[in-house]
Amino acid sequence: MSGFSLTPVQRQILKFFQQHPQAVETVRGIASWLGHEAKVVEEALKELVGRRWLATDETSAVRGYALTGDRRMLTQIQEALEGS
Amino acid sequence: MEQTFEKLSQHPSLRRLHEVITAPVSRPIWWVIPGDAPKTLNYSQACRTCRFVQKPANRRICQRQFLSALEEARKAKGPVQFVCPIERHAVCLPVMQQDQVRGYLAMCHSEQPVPSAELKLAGLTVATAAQEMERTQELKNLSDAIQPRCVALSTIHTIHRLISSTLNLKELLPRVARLCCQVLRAQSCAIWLVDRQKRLLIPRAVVELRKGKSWTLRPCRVGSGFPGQVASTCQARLSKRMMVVPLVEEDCVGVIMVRRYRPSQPFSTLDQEILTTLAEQAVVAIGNAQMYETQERVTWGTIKSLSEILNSMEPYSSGRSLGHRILAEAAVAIAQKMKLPLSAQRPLQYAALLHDAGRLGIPQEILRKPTKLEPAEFAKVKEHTIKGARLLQPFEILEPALPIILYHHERYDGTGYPKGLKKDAIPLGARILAVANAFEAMVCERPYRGAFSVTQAAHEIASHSGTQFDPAVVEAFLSLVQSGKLQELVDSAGSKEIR
Repeated sequence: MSGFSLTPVQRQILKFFQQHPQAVETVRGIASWLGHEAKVVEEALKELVGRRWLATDETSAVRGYALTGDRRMLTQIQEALEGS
Repeated sequence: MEQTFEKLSQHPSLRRLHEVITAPVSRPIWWVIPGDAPKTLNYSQACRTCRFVQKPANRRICQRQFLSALEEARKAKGPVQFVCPIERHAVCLPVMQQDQVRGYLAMCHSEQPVPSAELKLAGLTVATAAQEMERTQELKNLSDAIQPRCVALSTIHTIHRLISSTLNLKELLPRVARLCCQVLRAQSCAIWLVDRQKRLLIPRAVVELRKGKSWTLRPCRVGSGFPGQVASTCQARLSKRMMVVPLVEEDCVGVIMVRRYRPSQPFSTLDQEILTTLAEQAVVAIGNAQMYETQERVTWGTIKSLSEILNSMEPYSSGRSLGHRILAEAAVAIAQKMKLPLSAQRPLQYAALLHDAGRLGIPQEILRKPTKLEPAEFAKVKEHTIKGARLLQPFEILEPALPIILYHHERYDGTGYPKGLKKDAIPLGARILAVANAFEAMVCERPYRGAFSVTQAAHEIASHSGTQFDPAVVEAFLSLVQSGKLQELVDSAGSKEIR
């Protein structure tokens, strides 16, 4: 078990990426898919990136978020979604 | 369909109908029967209320009559009422969607018949609920079909933004490779670019996501091997575990190869379409980056020439160009240590080469004076920062370097010139250049004094941390000294003027 309790927004974000594992999205993109404020989504993303469940790719102009390709992390995500 | 029908039976308007009909009739049994022509009925619920159907033989009689009523309702496309073998009343309501019977709602075991007005109302309510469910289902189907495409489109857009804002080829190609792995859920990706003169494919980026595995790439001939064949024919190759697509801009400029190692997820033609789209975007970005790099090289060459010309016009110019090279490289090394972005490193490099351009406007006798300068003479020397910035102002490309040139003689404690700026008010580039400039001045031999060793120079700079120099810059500088990088830099200069 990952021992990590997800906030509702984090849960929605992870479900979005589980549903669309190929997606590479910006904060604003994720916010519009989930119907939340960009600020709220950005805050939720920080911890998910910190846990390496989401990967980022960024330039000075844009930052894209994507689901990790690491199978161990994907299992942790599944456990966290089932546990919370 | 059964799930939809189950949902329908939970619809609020049908619950209301249940209450309306149940009120006048006593202890009815409700049935939810999916399918347009059921062959059997589930009596588990009915057996609890009706004693008659507890016997299998009776159940068969009941079921025969019930199924016949359902058939009648299906044909009539409307409610049918009947009396069961134990003289109780029953009603069957067909649930219609798009003129098709999807199932039935039924009620039996009632002591009284359902009044015709209420029966009519029940029929209407079921039809309305079914229509509403149908619309909801249609919307859901539409959303399910559209959403993945929208997400894919949005992903392509994000990728376009990511790669089109990368002008450094060394950053761009690994980024494209990473994004290809991400979008195609591939485990590895490699990019080769064509060397036209040698007719070779040169590996430029590789991403390997499998733990503990590596993918070593070698140059390959155009025409041989998978990548070479794709480069020569400009035709993509697709297999279950590997895809290779060409990067085409008029001619083939390279190829992208992706690999998956899980047999359960073979590549499809859709994956090939996606990779081709990514390749089309990548080729534009690669072209832009190559053009930008060419422009950068031309600019850098022009600035180096300009710096050489300016140095040659100065007294004691022997060894100054070499010194400026040390200065530029030391400044960039400090900037990198401090994790400054590439966009901030370039102006620093330009400023390092041209920081003393303003000395051209200072009388030669002052610059050549071997003894200590008089206050008035020193005041003239101090003007070189302003004169230099003014001289270089017409060069648009040098605009970000001008503040560095203008303020590189400011001191951290505010006692420098030309403005006496303090701490963070001095641009960071200028604070870095101040340290690199002092270092270069000390390790380079001058006609009027010998050169310091790197250790001596480092000691001197450290002793002025917080007064003349920014402590953060000094810290980065000292860590470069400790790592031996600055000694290497000085050694590689290999001139007798420099130790």
